[in-house]
Amino acid sequence: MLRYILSRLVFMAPVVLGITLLSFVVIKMLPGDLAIAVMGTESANTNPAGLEAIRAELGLNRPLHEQYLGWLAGALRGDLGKSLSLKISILEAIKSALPTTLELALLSVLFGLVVGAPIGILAATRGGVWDGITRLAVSLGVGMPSFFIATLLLLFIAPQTPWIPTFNYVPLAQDAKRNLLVMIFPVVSIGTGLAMTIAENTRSAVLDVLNEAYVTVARAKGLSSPLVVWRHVLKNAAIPIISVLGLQTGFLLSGTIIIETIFSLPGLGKLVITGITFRDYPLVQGILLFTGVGVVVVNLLTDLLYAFADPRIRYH
Amino acid sequence: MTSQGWPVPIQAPAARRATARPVRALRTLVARYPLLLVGAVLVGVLVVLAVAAPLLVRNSPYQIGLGPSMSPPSANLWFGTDKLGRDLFSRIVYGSRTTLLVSIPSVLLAMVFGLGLGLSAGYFGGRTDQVIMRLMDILLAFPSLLLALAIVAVLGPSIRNLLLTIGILYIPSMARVVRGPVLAAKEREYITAARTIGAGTWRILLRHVLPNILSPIIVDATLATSRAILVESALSYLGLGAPPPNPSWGEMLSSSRQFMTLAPWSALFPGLAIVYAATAFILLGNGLRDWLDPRRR
Repeated sequence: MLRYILSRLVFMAPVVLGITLLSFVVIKMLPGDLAIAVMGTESANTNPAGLEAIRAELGLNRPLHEQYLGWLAGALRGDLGKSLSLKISILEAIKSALPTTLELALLSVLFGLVVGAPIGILAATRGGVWDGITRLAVSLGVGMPSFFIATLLLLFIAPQTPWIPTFNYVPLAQDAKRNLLVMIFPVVSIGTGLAMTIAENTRSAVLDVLNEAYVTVARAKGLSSPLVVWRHVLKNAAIPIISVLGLQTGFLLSGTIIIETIFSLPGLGKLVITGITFRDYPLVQGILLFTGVGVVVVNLLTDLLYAFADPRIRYH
Repeated sequence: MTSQGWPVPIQAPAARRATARPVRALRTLVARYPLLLVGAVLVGVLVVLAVAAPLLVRNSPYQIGLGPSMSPPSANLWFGTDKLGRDLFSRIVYGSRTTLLVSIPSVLLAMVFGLGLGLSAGYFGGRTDQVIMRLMDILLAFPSLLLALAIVAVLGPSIRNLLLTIGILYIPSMARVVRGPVLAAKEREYITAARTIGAGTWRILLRHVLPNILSPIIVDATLATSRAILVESALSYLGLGAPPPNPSWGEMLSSSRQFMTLAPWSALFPGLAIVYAATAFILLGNGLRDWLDPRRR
């Protein structure tokens, strides 16, 4: 296992380096002068001293490779620079936004599992009409953008349920009940598409396992159908489902960007939109780096979990 | 090396049978894969809407003040009007142009680069494979919407930048889809046979490997189109889509937000248009998969 972990880490190093490079380059693709873009053309023209100050603060007077290495060295120390719009350190901004996004993402995964897995199991074990309905629902659920689900919830469900607050977020630590209530609509908006993806993968994972010899044996010795599914099929089908969940991290974070904006949740997605709106490019850069590395780490953990659960992977 | 390569081209059927055969073949196809028919019809309708948009609408999608702001659906204005009093039906029909103009070229772009990279990685293997796939991993590490947001915000929103950005986003998944079957195909006897009779690398790749991996590529491209539609509408929802006055479904949906409770139709119709377009390509992709690639069902 240790050898497997080490080999995965070796594979990861160049990818992480690439992520830092890409996060840096994306912002440098800005046509024209970054400092002018940050300040706005008008105030840049009237205030050349201020412009020069921003240039110096962003290190724009140094050659490109020095800028990159300086930024990278800072990032390694945990210093991503200072946000131009929020006037606090970028790491500090990310730290305060992260819990909201993590909570939203985890609750959405939970919702997706609770709703999606049973649908997938039904489709695989009952077949026929169930299968047809599931495939249609899956296509619709995947094709339905989270922001439209949010719109539908606000239009049709929210007026009927005045006890669910739609805005005015409070942190979990401050008022857990209200926090969870506020999270209902955002979680359903993101979780529905996820549930359908999970249903689809559960269906095919369960179908695969149903064809295994040990399931035939279990049936032959007279176990009831639900017992076979529960004891023999689900445990073995769970592994591919977990790995699919790991791969959905990026999708999940994409969803949080737009849903946090709609429901005014102070998470990473809202932060990146703030960065873009106020041309706070260092902030956007920092979030790119943070999420890129975060996704790679989550994928690594999923791989390790997978290898831990299924020893065949390690010797591959 | 002339054209006696393998496989041997199939002889054209006799002319008399040729007229009856496609019809019967099509009927069998539809009976066995109903999803394919549903998907094809839905996508077909979308394409017709986009191509024939000027013939289908009564009012210009750009004309301001056709009716009062946010007026409800009526005989003349089927879907009502938007904030500026523009015909919402016209804007939704024309919006299909924006959507397809961004999503289809971006998927084609991803396909061309993904094919090149996936073929090279799978066929040459070794260090080439390592380098290409690690590069793809870097792109895959970012949540697609986040990377697209950052790039479009930096370059400025325009149809060209949108399709370039979304195209780049989907290169990695396409390269992965291509690489797998290439790895499997290159070990087959017919490739060894082609190599033995002296076929060059490019000839083998294009004549022998490519035709055998087309099915998964077509399926993935169709499904990628639906994802491209969703990313495009998400970007335009966040205000980084095709610049105004281009009609774009995501922007219509987001600008209806403040009037939603008073004018629910202004949110419903653009939203339904997005769902329709994305689902149409998903159904077509699944239908194609059932037909072309039955093992992956």
